[in-house]
Amino acid sequence: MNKLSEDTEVILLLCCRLPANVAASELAKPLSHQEYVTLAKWLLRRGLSPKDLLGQRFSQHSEALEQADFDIKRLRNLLGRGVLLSFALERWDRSGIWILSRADATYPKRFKRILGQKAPAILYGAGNADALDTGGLGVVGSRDISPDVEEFVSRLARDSAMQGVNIVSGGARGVDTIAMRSAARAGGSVIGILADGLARSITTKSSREAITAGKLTLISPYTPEAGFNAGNAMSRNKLIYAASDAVLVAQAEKDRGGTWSGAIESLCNAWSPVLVQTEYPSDGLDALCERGAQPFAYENKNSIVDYLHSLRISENQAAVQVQLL
Amino acid sequence: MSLNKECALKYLRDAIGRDDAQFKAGQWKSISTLVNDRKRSLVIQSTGWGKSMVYFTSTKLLREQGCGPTIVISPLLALMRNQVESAQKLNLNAVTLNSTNTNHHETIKNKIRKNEIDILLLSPEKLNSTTFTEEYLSLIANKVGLVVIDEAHCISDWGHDFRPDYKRISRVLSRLPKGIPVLATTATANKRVETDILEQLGECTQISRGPLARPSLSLDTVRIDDPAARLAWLTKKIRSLNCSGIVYVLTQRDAERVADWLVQEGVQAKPYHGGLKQEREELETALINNEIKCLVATSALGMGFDKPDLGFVIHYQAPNSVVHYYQQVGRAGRGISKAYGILLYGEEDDQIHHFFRTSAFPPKCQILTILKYIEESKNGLSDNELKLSLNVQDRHLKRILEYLSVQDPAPIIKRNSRWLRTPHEFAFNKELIEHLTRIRESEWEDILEYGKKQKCLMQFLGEKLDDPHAKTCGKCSVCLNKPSTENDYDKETYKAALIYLGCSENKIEPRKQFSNPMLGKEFGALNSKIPKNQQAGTGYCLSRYGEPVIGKLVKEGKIGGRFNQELVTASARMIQSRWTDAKSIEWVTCIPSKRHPKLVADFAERLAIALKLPFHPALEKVQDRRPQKKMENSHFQCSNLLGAFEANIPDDFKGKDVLLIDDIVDSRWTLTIAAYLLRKQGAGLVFPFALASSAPGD
Ligand SMILES: [Zn+2]
Repeated sequence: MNKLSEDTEVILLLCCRLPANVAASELAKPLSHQEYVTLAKWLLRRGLSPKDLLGQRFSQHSEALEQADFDIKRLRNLLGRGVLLSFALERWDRSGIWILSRADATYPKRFKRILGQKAPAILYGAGNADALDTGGLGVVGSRDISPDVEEFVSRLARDSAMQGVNIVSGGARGVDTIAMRSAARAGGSVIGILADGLARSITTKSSREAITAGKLTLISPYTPEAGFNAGNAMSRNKLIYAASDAVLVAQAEKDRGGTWSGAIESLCNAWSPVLVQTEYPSDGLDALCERGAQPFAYENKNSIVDYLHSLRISENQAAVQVQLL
Repeated sequence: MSLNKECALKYLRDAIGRDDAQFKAGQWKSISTLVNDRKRSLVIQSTGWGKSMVYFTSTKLLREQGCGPTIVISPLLALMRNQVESAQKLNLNAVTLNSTNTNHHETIKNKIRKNEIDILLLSPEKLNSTTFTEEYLSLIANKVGLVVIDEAHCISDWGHDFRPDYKRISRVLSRLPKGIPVLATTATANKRVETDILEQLGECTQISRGPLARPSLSLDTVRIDDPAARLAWLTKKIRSLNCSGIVYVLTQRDAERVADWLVQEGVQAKPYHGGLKQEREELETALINNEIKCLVATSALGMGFDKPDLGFVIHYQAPNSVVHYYQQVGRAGRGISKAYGILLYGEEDDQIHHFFRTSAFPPKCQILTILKYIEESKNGLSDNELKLSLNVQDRHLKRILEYLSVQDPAPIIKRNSRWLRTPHEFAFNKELIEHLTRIRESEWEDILEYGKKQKCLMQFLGEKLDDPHAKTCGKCSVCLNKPSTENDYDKETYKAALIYLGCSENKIEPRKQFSNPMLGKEFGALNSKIPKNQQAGTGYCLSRYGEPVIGKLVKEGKIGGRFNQELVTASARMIQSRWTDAKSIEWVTCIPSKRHPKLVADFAERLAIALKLPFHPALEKVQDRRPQKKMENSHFQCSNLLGAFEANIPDDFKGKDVLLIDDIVDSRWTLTIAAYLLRKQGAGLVFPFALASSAPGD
């Protein structure tokens, strides 16, 4: 059993939706990401950390929290969910799911560096967590794709895998699945960033075998039992960009859908270079190029490793220490 | 005195109803740890010490401070009922949620929402169900004030009744954030169990441990190897005792048999075991109200049973450890000044415990097969899918799945009623199992040592349980230097006991359904039901295989290849004199075998002669099959017989009732299917008869 740090315990108590399928009206509403960030900043300013809110320590800070306009009653209710949390932790542990919070030293450094305060407070995952800091090529695209694009994606993923480049994707139907599957078949390492159903995904035969072999890391910023939700799917896109040295868009519709908005978001925030494939052009991909995405002429690239290296952001920036709770 | 202690004392006095009541040593310390320090406390005190007072008072104080309700986890339904009533004396609203009060669940839920419940009593099974935790626990979980683990020795790997349900609870406990007070209580925990519990509660746990000696108990132990002598001894002893009590036995079968015997001897005794369901509460009440002399019980009459004036606990067979013995014998004399605790033991106990020990853990190959099967499935497997494809006994399958799913980390989990393989590796822990087996062996040796009576019996029990207060009692047979009473029984009763053990026929209730509808259709039925006019009637078997007197003869015959004439005579006598329903039988037939074609047929022919009825071999084995005893579960046993037999009945016998003979009955499938085929071919009623039923281990 991986004993959680007290900080992580508190962040879970504050932010985790427990249990996944009971109407929220019955329960204290967990902190939204923004609400958590506000609280974390407040703690940081006072030289405190989340664990200082645990148990009877809470009352030492309750007055100050109240003055800073925090809803004390709600915080107290959320922090009182220890029994419920311990049941969930036991269940997740049993299924092979680990938890990292922004307060953990082992939380992926890339996420903090690239996303700053937008980095999710909690990550649920299975498989090798260290892989999350090793970069790779992100591959994203629509759920419904043409056979041509399908062929392209599986070729690219297979070649990357054979050159030792991680494939990062979102685990959705279409481009995501094809990229992850062909990389895995070629013996490559895969990082899947899921919007829903982490608990379900890790027990399928293929995922389980890849996780056991150390070839697959699955993570999600949402509770492992969470069901599909379009908002969650949008919002986890940033992790695909943060985990990748560059992200290739295989197919996208202009002005519509998660692929498009994810790419635009990355371009605006400079999370990671956005590439578009040039073998099967489309209006959507052209439009992305107009907004700053780079054409990726695969036939001219001998080595994906070298290419990704040439794109990598200067190392000084990587050295910047980001203090985040 | 702090304010809390004053309040606490007031509650104690209210509850007990005496103005001068004081806390017992340890009670207040424990309450203060829970309420003032919000820490954890372990209470090891004998029953009757007042463990519930600790959490009643703590709950009261915590509720006043605005805390949420207390959750009590207890495996004992009976105890729960008592607790609900006791709590009311302190104006605490306690409720229990279990499968017998489902119609109140919605009301209880509403009360929880309105914060009107102070104590929620739950069984470990309940707590482990995901729907339950989500529906109920989520309503209070953001304000649980106190968690109480009753019978906490169950969470220990070394505990004498380890339960898988508790294993999960201990894992939840170890993940429980600090600041939630936890009280663990048990009446019996030796050092090893104590250390194990502390490991799960954390280092800062406060401990309260009290003396275990029971001053009102006079202990004695007697070795009697001959089962008939044991029965005769028991009869005389019970008749001489002017009070009611419990006779403990090891198996359900012995509970029935010994109770039957006592009734035959004019003692008002009733059997009590896990095979009985609703009657158990009535039986307990009958004993509590002294309406009967004794219950002959297995360990199913357990921890929650409380009768202050219980006068004796006699063990007809030795339990497997000192802890068990102490717990069971400790039920006598709780509220009276004099009570008796007598342990009988003998040769057969050793064999029974050896069997229990060697079958305690599922075999490695079975575990690995099941695991591999789940691993290779695409989307996991349901219980039923596993049963249909694996030739493993249902109870073994259940135990193995349970065993695997409580490992930490667990190699399998159950989700939406399917078993799934997790990414966790599974290493079969041979050392742990060997270690546990060695512990069990040494626990059994302790019992044998107790039987040797080399020191004060009460002191011996206390020392084995690591009780620092153990000392000589002054009233056991060793302290009083009493001579052994092994020959103290009536010769006439002994003779009757010999005869009683000799004729131990028992009923055979044939099956009324095929193992599933598909198989039913293959046998030519419409679904899984066997039509009423094609079922076998109630039958009899003459003995238990290998047991004295008849069962031993059957075993000899089976090995020697011929059943002797004594068995024919005994069978004929039983059928003619004690089996009234069988009067209508007009002919005799038997189950055929290709492996031993003569054994049963020869016996059946001779029995037919003795019964003056015609014999006709109406059944033929058309296909040889693997022996039925190698088939581990119902599905395999039933399908193994498909196409195995053919029935052919001459016209003269059609419509006439028949006696169907086999040597040994086990799963009853062979007799059920044979009767079904005979009746389909036009036989009248079919009465199954077997020489013996198979005993466990054979
Ligand atoms: Zn003594």
